[in-house]
Amino acid sequence: MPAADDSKRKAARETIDILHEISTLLNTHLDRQSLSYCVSLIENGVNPEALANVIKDLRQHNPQQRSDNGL
Amino acid sequence: MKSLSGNTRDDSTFGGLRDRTIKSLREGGHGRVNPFEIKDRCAGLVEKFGVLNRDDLAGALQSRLDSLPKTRWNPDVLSLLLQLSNRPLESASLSDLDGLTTVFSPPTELTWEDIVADDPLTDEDVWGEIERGYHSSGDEEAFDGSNSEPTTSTQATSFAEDDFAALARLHIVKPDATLLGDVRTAQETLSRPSDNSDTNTMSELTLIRETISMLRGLPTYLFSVGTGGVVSISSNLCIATASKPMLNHVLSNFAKIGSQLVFLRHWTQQKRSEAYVQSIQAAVQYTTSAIDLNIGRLEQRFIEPPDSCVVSLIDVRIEVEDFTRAAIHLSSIIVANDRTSNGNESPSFALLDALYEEACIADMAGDTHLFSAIAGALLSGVRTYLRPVLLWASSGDLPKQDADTFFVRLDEEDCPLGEIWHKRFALRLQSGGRACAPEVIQPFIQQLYAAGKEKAFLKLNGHEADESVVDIVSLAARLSMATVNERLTTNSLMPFDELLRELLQDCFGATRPPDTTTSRTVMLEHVDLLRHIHAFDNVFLGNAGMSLQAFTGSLFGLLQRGSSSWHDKFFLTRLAQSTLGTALSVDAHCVSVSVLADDKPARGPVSRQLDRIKLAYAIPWPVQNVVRSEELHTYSAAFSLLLQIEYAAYVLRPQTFDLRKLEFGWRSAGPALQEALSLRARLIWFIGILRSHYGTVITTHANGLRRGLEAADGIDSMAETWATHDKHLRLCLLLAPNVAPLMDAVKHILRLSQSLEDAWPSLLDQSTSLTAVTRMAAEFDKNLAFVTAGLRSVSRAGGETALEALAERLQWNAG
Repeated sequence: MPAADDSKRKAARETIDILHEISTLLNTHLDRQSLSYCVSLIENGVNPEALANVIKDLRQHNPQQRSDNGL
Repeated sequence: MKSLSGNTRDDSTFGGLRDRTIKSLREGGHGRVNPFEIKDRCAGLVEKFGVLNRDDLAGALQSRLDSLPKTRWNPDVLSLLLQLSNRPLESASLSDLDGLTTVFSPPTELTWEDIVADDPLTDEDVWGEIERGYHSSGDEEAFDGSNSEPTTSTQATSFAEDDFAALARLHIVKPDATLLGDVRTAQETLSRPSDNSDTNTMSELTLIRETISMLRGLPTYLFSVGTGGVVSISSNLCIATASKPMLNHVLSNFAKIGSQLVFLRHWTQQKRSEAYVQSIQAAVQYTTSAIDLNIGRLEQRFIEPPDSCVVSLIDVRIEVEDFTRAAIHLSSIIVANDRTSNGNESPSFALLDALYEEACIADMAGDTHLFSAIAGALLSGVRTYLRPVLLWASSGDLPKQDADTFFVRLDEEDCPLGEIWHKRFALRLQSGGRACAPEVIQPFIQQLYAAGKEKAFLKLNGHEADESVVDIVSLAARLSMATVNERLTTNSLMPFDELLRELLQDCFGATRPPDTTTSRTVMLEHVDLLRHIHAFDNVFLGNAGMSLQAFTGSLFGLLQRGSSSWHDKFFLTRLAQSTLGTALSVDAHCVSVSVLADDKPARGPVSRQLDRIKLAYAIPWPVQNVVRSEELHTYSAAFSLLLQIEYAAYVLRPQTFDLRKLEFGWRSAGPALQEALSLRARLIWFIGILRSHYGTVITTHANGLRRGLEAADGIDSMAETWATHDKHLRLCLLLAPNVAPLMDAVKHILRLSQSLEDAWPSLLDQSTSLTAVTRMAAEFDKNLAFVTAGLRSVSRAGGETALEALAERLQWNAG
């Protein structure tokens, strides 16, 4: 039913908004799109700790990140 | 990956990073985080912010955590965020949150400045005069309407006044006729006449469609309705998914169900005169309506099938059998017990009785659904039947409708008031002696009958004004399935018949509120029954001795003088009213005396003449309903006996036998005189014993009668008490037919007094022989012995102690 789908989408949007705000408060440097990808991965069974390690690892490989850190 | 690592697909390291990432994620395991640990960590973080003077962050974080919708993944996501958090105390600020939300700005409105900027109002004609009036396209020469096509809006606003069809066409949605194509094709196939050798193969859906239409009572090609509403299969069909015998079997089951539904629908439409049957018809119609709803739901499933819908005739059969089970059972009950469908003359209320029995069976079997259907029909019928019953019990009025089947009938409408209670109404009985009422009411028949009679009696007695109005409709409405279910929830083990009996008892009890005037109250307090009983004792039984003596003294004097006025009933009545009528509790004007006609000469023995005098008392009609007679025959006979005894005592009075009148001394009296004196003494003794017995019996029985009447709960008990008292009194006073010989012997002895008195003058002048006196004495002895022996045998047979005592006393001195 279209009305049910709309409400589901709206609920999901609200959840992502709040999580994004929490993410901002915790200074995780995740933008909204990345956060929604992470949530999708977790909902599909990915271990949060493993995901966090992957994100940190990927950031290590970011040239911009490395220059910010003085590497 | 791109946003985190900054590498795109074109970079050389992208592929390796991607593989490593995927491998890390796969090897990361599927362990779940501990939600309580995450919750504690979040709470700890909030507290840390608060302690380190970042209340803004603490409040913001706490509010977001509280408003986060609860999902199962929250702990995992929060765990991720906590692991990725990077010194939020130093780096985070609330202003970062402001950058996240985008303010919704409404589209800019069109302003006159924009219009003017786009199209300046420099044209001179803009400010010219506007021609008022209707501008039709036909007036403008430049306008060529031949090429223009009417738009929808033009049509909508400029329709011709009589072109409603065009307007309707704009708003009516035309159904798509092609959707019914399959249905029409199937119906054409079904409608083709086929012989036995030709079978049509149809789809299962078509068969289901036909079956549903048949169950709704609509005409179909597959089924035909014959005489008597019997549904049969009319077409030779087969389906690809089942064998022919199986299909015929299933369709036959449907046909049977359809037949019974047709019968039910037809039966509920019949015009019936009995009100309770009409109520049952309504209840059954409710059941068939529920079936129609279920059929509709079933049909809806095939019209708007869900994602997975199995088209199965067997499934449909199972469902249909389930929701028609109760209706089929009702149908079989009605066929077997309703007089119009049975053909034979069923007894009245056979349908109600059958519903009652089946409801009890269903309740015992624990079949809740069947019980609800049958009990619902039963209670609707009983509710309607109860209304005239409650009207009768609360007001004593017979119903005008269905009067031929009501359990009370008007027996003698014009019966005298004194027989109102016993003869006006009677129970209407069926063959077998059972009252004409349903089985469920049978235990209450006597109670209801007496209650209604009491109300009718009280109304005649003028005691209906203080009765509170009983709401019959709400009383009857208490018998409903809601009440039954409520009782069953509190006491689920109570059988239905007991529960129904309890409800009926409460219902009938409500027709007699505690402060209701009863017939007992009216009889004892308003009619003053006991006062009238006392009056009877005073008038007939000589309780008021002085009044009796005054009456008898005058009467006997008249008789002895031979006055002709003694048989003048008016004179005697006057005499009785002035003597007996002055006794306590007696209404003098009610006393009357009559003299029976006699062929024998008027101057016969006085004792025989005394038998012609009949004393009567005008009994009020309410009391007549208790004594069951306008006259008190036993009391009249007792008064006659009393007159005989008193006359015998009167003639043996000392004045008559004053021996000082003797010319010679009594010592020189002859043997005849001496024998006469001895006889006189014995006669006086006998009369004394009779009087004593008379007084004892009357006193004892009067006390017993009074106690019995005070303890009676209604007129029926009072009448029974009176009848018992009357029977005992008759026996003890030797007035009963079976002791008539004893009474004759007693009267013979008493008449000896008259004989002795008649012979006294001749005894005095010694002209009477001893033989005559001896004969009288012998008669006395003989009758006395007979009376004594008779009393003994009667007392032994009947157990009357008073007669036993009388026999004992007569025997003491006789010997």
